[in-house]
Amino acid sequence: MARWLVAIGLLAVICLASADPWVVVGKSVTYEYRVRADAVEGSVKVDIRLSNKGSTDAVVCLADVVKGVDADSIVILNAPTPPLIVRVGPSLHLLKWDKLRVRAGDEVRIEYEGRPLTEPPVKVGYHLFVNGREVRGSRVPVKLGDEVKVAVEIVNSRGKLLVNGRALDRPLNVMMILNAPEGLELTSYSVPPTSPIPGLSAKAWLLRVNDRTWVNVTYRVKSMGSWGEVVQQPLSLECYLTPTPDELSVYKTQAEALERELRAVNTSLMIVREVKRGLSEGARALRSLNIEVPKAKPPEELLKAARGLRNVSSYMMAMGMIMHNASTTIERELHNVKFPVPVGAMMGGALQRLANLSKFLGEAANTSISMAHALEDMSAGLELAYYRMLNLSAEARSLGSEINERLSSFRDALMGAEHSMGLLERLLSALVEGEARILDDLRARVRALEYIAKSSEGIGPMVSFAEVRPIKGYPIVKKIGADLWALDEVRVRGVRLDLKPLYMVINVSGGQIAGIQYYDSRMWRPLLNYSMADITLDLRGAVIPAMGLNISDNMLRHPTLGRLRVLIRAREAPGVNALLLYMQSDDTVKVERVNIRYSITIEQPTLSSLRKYMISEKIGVRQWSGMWWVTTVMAIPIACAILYLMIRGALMRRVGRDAEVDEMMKRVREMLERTET
Amino acid sequence: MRRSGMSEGRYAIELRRVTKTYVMGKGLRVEALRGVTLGIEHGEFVSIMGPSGSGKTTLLNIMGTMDRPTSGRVIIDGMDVTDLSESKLAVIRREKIGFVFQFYNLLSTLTALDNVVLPLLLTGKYTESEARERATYLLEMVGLGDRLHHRPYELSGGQQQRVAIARALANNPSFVLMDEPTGAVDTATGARIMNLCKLLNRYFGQTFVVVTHNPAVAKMAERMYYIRDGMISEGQPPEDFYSHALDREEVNRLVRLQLKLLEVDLRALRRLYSKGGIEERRYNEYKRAIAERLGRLEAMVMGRG
Repeated sequence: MARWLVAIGLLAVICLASADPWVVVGKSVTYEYRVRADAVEGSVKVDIRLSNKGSTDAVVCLADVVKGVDADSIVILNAPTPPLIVRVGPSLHLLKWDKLRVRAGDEVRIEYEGRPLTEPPVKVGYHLFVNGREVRGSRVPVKLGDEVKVAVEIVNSRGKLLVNGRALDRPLNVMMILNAPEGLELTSYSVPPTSPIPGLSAKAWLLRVNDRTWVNVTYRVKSMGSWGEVVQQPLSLECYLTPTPDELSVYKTQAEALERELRAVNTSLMIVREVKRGLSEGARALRSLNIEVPKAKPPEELLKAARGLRNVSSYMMAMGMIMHNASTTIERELHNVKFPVPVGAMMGGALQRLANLSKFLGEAANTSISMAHALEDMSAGLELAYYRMLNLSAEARSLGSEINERLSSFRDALMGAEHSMGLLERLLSALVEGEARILDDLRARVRALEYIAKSSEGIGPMVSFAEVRPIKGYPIVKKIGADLWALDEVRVRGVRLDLKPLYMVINVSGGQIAGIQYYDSRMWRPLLNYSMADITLDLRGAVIPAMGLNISDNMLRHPTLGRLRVLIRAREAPGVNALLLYMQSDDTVKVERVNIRYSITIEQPTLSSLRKYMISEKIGVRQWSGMWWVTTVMAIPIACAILYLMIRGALMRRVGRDAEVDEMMKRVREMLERTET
Repeated sequence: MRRSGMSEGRYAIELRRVTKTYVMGKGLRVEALRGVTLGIEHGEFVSIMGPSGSGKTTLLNIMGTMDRPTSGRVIIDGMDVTDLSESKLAVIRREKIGFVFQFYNLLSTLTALDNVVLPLLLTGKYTESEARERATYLLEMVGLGDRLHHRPYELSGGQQQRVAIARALANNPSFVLMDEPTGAVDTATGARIMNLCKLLNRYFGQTFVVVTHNPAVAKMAERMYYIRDGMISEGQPPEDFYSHALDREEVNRLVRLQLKLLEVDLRALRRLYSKGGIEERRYNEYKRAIAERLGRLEAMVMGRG
């Protein structure tokens, strides 16, 4: 299997006849579900267009990723050549066309359809009530004057998305259209239509569904037609898996905020490294001075020691200034990081560390500057002693003990400084390592947010160009219990950075996949809803989004869940084969956003005055007698409204014609005649 | 409704020091717009370009009265609409603003003609037959005279977008807001759509505001604005905006369609006058708008001899 896929993978590279052509690829996917009684019939239609905007022909090898479609049901409606269908993993296939020629300035169109394996992102519950009682069936008995209520329950079935252990909502925008046929008079609705349409029977509701929502529409049976029935048009719902602008802007803003955070951390990291390097050099300089000072013998060595101290003093001063600047820069960067969402524990920790680093550097700067001043004083003292010894050699010996004492105190001070610097260096090194870890966490978080944004754009699961590559090396399987193995590590080697991994496909032999767990708060927790994490699996294989894959530590990761492991039930060590599905990126090929549309139509029952096995002789008359009071009561406000409109119309009515309008009309007609020729 | 004396008549839309801040809970705030001041005159073709997350969509929503600014004023056709009630804003949106979206947002169960008829009926100015006649001319104008009874799924992306443009123009809006109008169609179709808008702007003075991240689309406008981090700046105007000449016959066809649209409007106006179906103030506004359009067309026809 793996070798076969390697061969396919090599063919799947997009190759172009020349570097010039600019091939734009657009793809739209339309899912249609028809609900009749309790049966649901679904189809998916895919339309791919490759347009060559260049001046020379292009030859393209196309691999289209098909996820959640029954491969056996695929029917090619339009394509230059039939494709090769390759199964990559559970519910994941590639449709491959080798060497598609797209002529300059021309377009190649590929269309195919199939049966979806996935359910629509919304579940619709349809309920019909006649006079308050729920009724079922394709024909529902009613009589004139009956109240008919259509209750539609729309449930967002996309599920939430798990990010760092938190479930995020994925709201859907749904448009519901209901055609009220003649014979039914609309009396009320629970949610007003977005566009009430006078003159048209269709009513449209634009609904934002977070979890679930209800729309109730109530009619009164006004007439039953010559056949004694009212035929209702199907109820239709449409939704696009494109994010609403505000939804996406929130995600993007989060990602941008995190990028700013990354920049702040990077800047801080550079500063920390610079300070660390400087401190290390300073410590070395101090150590050498520490060795030389005790050996200093008056008078020349004393002068040398004084100059050494002065150098160290100016060095300490410079270091102090650097640390001061570093502290200010980090503070400014931190100020620029504005989080649009509540900061998680990890992010909070990162910010706190940066704030601590800034404070520490500020204090260290002050210490360093104070130390520089002290060293400067000591150096001046030494120089003074030197000159005094030169001029007053007789007094030199008498000063000997004093100088020795002072040297001794210098040595103690320097050793103390060296010790402090060592501590500072160790602390800074620890901070650097900590910052690097934070950086990794932050990058993973940004990738997760990008994944959320992209999956809501519909790019993730249905990208047009892809390449299959086996992972070099072997996945690691560990025994974690009786007959239970876990795969939480894959060795990835030779990954090309210009290829973007889309999915990791894990195929198992000699065992069965028992489930998936994710690591959260130092515990492996079972993943109960795979669709929440965009994972598909069966007993033999699993497809995991691979955008969060970190090639540096080999850990199996999910873009939003973090660390992940696949549990396999097997007596012996199972055989595991892992593949990466890539998206090809190429300067000459541009894949435009994939448009995914879901359309759901629900058959509505026919309302009939004919009861089963019985034909009434007086259709629509018998019922009338009991309804006279309703008619009378309703007639009063209607009559009032008509009267009001008549009076208002009469008051506003103008006599004669508006001469200006007549004049304008004349000018229009003249110009129409003039332009006719 | 408050009138703003400063901008009356000159600007189709004006924003004054508009800010928009989203509060995301627990006191965390995102400043999507930071003091945007902008005036778009009648008859201008303006593009607003910026990267994702720059505040384009927020700006568009505020210009389209779909969102309210946190501070600052929004003035449409000389009327300060910042504090209007939602129902009044709905009227403004229906009568003063045309919208064109990236994914067309056509009603899939209605034909192309009915999609254009719909906003016309909503105004209450036209009878159904007048609305249908007017919608037919508008669809002919955008080159879809032979696709009137097709449903959206029977039309290509470019054709659907042209239906959306016809729908946006249905009520003679003060300005048309276009959100990534070419984002969902191929480049050639996108260019055709933008040329159509350019032509409607150039010959009939229709004001267009295009919000896009695509520089090629933005450059087709007469004036370009850049938005970044919620702040707006004006760019250099493209040099070749007026260089494109149109085929004489095509111009004649479009002029005649505009005249026919005016004829329908005048008929509707005459009916509204005699039946008393419109208030005096709205009637006069409506009449003045028609007179302006007629004057522009007359100047054009006479100018061509």
